[in-house]
Amino acid sequence: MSHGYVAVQWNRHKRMYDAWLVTGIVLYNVLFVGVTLLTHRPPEDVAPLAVIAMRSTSTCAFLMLHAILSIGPLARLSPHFAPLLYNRRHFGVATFCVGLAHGLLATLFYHGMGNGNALLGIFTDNLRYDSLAQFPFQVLGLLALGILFLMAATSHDFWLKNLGPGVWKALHMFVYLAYGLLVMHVALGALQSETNPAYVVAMGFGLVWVCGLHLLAGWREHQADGKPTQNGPWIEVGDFEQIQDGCARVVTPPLGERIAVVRQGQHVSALSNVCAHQGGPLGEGRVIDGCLTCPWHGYQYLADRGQSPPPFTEKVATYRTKIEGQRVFVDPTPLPPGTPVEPASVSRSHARA
Amino acid sequence: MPEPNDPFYVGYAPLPKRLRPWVLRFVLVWLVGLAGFAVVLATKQQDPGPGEWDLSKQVAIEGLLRVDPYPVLFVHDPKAGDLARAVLLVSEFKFGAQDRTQPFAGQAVRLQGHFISRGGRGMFELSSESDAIQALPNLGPNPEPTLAPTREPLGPCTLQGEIADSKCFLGVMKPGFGKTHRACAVRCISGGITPIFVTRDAQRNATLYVLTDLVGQPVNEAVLPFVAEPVEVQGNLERRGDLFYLAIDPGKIMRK
Ligand code: HEM
Ligand code: FES
Repeated sequence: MSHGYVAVQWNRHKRMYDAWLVTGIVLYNVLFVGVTLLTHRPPEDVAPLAVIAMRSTSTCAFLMLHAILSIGPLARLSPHFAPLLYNRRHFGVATFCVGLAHGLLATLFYHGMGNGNALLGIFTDNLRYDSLAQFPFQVLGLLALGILFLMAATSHDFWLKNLGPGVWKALHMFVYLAYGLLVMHVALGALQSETNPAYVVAMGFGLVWVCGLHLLAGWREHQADGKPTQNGPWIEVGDFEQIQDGCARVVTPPLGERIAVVRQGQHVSALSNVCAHQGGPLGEGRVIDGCLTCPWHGYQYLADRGQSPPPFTEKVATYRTKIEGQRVFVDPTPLPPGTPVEPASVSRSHARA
Repeated sequence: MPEPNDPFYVGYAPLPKRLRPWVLRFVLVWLVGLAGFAVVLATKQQDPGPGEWDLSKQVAIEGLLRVDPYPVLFVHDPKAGDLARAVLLVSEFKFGAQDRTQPFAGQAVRLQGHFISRGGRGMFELSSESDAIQALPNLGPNPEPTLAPTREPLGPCTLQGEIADSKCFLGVMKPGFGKTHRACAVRCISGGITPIFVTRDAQRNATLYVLTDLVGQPVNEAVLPFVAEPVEVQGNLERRGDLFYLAIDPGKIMRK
């Protein structure tokens, strides 16, 4: 997964994903422009047509951003949404492209074609920074577009590797800032002149939807966490039989990252729950070909070593485990990433499986 | 949270059978959802209004050209009754037509270009060709008696409304006023296009006033900070032909 980079590692799923992505975008914009021309007075020239396209692409990109922000919590709520998550990056790049089309149209037609620099005009054509109702909302759109650009430009694994997962993840958290900026961009812009309540209602619903999903997913995770019982340095994971073979159970130590305790036959190993790729929840993965496989993009780890099988080089922290009777315990002190640990085993006589 | 017997998806492996109906659902929700939003948002958006800008054919008009301080062509129009009909003049894109029309001020001319109109008020966009303005010597050196607009002072008045650029308001952009159009209006007025004051009655019908300063000079630069905002202005009203002019002190524009 990480030896040498190609532009995009294509496979059938990504192709299908992108094909439906593009189909949706084209469908939306064709319908929006078409319905506008049918229900409103037809434009006589390109300027009003540009305004229609501006609205079509802007609402399309804003809707797509809602979809992107929904995929994360949906996938945390149910594994059925995993196929959406797999290629989320292409979704992000597509959203940037549609947003860029809107930004270019707006900049060219509203700030350009006159006696000044169009890009500069975004900042200077309206100087009412002191007023909320008159605020130059275009600046907020430009900032959001800048964030979407940074994210699209660094979406490739090359950047992930070179920035490190921490910085990369932090950078990609800015998508929430971009969303906030865009909510204000619309509230202080189009909603100041758009008289139909449908627009306000739609945006309010989107806001409630995005916030609600995140709260729900966070709350469910919090519920599932539970308080592990501690016994000296060891914390109790639970009954060996309750961990299904080839699956993991996640424990949350009082301090530090969540731990994935994996069962392979009669053995258990423990490793960080946080995938070295983009922080996916390894404990929600499965053992495939002897490796714990991340549910997000399928990175694989040998559970007893916290390492991807060669030639891959990803490493995560490992933990010591022990089994007393049927009870499984883990020592929550992380060992350096990639440290091999002897798996704990139940003796055959104990195993009822 | 996922359960052990939930289907497990990895992008590079074949799709588990149990996820197939889900993927089908996603595709449906994606397409139907987008189509739904497209139709609803498109039908509910603001009506752009009846502005017209006929670019399909270049036409010629004849009349008396005045540049005081903005270029206006006064023409005979039976629909305007006794009053000479005033047609505001602009150049292409976001530029006024002062410089080009100045040499022909006070003369009868034939202009080449395109009509722009909204709600009965007309404007003419001069073609960029060098012969777009031609003096008409054959109408005689002084066509004033036939086409000269009557200037009728109507006294001082206070008006509430919005400063807009005449070109976009009269039909080029849709909408050509309001918050979202502010930047465009600023560029147009800054580029020399005639600034107008727009008031609306209870039925939202608009009345237009050409804005000048108290001595009849352009106010393009002075009004820029107030464009597209609700404002109140005080000034002296005058009618030239069928067009209202409002002479204001730009220092006394008040935000509402
Ligand atoms: C350079 C950056 C941007 C500029 C100059 C800009 C400018 C504008 C303008 C002038 C409008 C009003 C259009 C009208 O209704 O007549 C608008 C509306 C809107 N913009 Fe932007 N925008 C920018 C970036 C973005 C981005 C990146 C997004 C979303 C991804 C976005 C989403 C929207 C939405 C949803 C609307 C309201 C829909 C509507 O037009 O009625 N904008 N923007
Ligand atoms: S986060 Fe991408 S594979 Fe784990």
